[in-house]
Amino acid sequence: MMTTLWAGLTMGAIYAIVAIGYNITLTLTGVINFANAQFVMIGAFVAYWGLTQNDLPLPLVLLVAVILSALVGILTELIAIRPLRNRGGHTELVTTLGVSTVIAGLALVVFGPDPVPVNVVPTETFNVLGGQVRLNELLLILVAAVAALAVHWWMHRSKLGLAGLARAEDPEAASIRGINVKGLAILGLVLAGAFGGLIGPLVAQKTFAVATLGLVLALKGFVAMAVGGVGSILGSLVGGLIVGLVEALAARSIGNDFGEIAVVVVLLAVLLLRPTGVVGRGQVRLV
Amino acid sequence: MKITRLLAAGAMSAIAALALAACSSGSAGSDAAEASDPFRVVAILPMTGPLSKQSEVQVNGLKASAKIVNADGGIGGRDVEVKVLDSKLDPTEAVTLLQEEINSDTPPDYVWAGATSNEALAMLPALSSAGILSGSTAADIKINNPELYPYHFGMQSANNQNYQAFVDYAKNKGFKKVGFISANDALGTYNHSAITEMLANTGIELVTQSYDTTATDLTAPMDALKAADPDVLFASSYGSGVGYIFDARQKLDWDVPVVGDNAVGGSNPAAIVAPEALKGVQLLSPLVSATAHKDEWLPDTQKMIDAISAEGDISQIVTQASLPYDALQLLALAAKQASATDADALKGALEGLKTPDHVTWTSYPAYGFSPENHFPKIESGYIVFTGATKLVNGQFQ
Repeated sequence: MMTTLWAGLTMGAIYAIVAIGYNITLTLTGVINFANAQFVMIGAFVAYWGLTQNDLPLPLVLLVAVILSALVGILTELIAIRPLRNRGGHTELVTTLGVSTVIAGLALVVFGPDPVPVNVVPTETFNVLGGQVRLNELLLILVAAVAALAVHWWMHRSKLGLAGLARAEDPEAASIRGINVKGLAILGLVLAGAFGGLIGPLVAQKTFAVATLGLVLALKGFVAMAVGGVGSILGSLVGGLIVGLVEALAARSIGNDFGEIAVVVVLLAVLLLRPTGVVGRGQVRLV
Repeated sequence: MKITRLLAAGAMSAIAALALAACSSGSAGSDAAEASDPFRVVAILPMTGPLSKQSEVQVNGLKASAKIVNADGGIGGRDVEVKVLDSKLDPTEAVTLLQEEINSDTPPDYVWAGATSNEALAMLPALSSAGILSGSTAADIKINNPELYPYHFGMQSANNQNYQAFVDYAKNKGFKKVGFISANDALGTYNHSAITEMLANTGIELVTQSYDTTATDLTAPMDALKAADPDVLFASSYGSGVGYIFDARQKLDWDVPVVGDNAVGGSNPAAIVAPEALKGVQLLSPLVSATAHKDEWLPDTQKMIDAISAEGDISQIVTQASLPYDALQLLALAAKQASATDADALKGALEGLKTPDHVTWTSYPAYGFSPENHFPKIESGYIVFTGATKLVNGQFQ
């Protein structure tokens, strides 16, 4: 059972990483970017190209993954988000979903439909607290926790982070006070892209690099964000871990078909009983 | 605040998607054909999308076979022409393309109908109505219905036959308990019912786990299977699922012997996971895809491999190419035995095909079609056990 617990924590960490990306974009840009999980997929395939196919040094591969994902983030903002700004209706939900589909399609054309392996760190397995867990899985849990704390700190302590929170509270007032709202929108996509691209290789060691990866993670990442609390970076971590653990433990104890159902039940319960999420404040707001 | 509406809109989409994930007449064309007319083969396959590589290999099988048949005088004296259309893995698109071909001035004599059962099942009513012969690798048992689909001859044996090799192996080894894992999609559910039926009354207990096709970690179901302590694990999976199964088994430090079915083999596990994760893994493999059993191959197997390799790399398991290859070889022989090339004559000849001393097909010793059965009948020894090695020319080494 402990092995399943570790597996749940690992998958939860991956969902949390995607949810953190959602929340970075939401806070700085004001939209939920459904293409966010594709940044992880881009990082995964860059790692396959760099590490598996060409044996390049890891730092170089990570740099390429970060730059490429950040560039895709900028393009997403310019093509799918900015033209719709101030038009109402949250049509960005549809256009970013379109971007996500295009990215997945491109990955399919370039790398084909088959999953491919990526090894970033040694594949050793450890016995920790009576359960089997791999080094890359422990790292994913650690990275998700550190990233959540770091981004939370940056949002609440740095000038840029505070400007983002001000934009999230009232974009017009923030603009009048001299905050560059358009610049923040780009920054949100750049940061989320770079973050996803950076972590993508480590995720791929767990999930393989496969063209459908982004589409699969997008959904669970969104659920993690909703469970943890929209706008809350620490909530992303808590929400992700809850979703991962519920999914794994329900699958192990009740039956594998019930993993997804249990996640739906938790999501519905949170939305009905505490719509702001388990970590969100009593009032729906981002700051 | 607008965030509430935003969350609500996104949440509704997520709930809907998650909920879905959790529940989871007379022959035409050939009648008037003259010997100078080409024998038109139309392949409607998903040339784009996730099955594009598989489709490309199938087309290469048809093209290679057409060249060999044409060099030997064609089908009933008619040169074979192969036309390829892209279904985009969409059954509706496949049917639209088929209707256009049927309504054209040059309707097909034979249709290679899709790479999946969904595509084949969508096209079969129109093919039956137009009286056009067809074949495919689709192995859904519902397709084997000569009353409903009299002109379709499936080229791939269904798993209710393929699994017999595993059942015999389990009996011979004296296993008392078998673990089985499969996806919870249509194929996995069918395979689950097939193995359940075949192990019934054998005295072997079956413990099963299924997984959602969107899963990215299978530790939980594998841990549950390990807890049940089966003597052997029989795995039915494809794509990423194959990697997740072997990865979880290795992580759980579980040394249970594993047998993967033909879908596992077709996913080329050695290209997904490290060799150490495949220790103790055997694959149920058709004879034609096992190089170690070269001595038992049918006589023209190497000729088939060479001909298809000349068309392009065999990047998938070789049966993806050998089955369409065989389809045209069978039609050529049927035309000789019927002395005609119209659909009814060919259908009759295929249902009672006399096997010559030298067979030119390569995948099954005999296809065994009859008026009541339009799927290949497996003969003992056709399915063999191979190690999970890398595929070379679509064959395990």
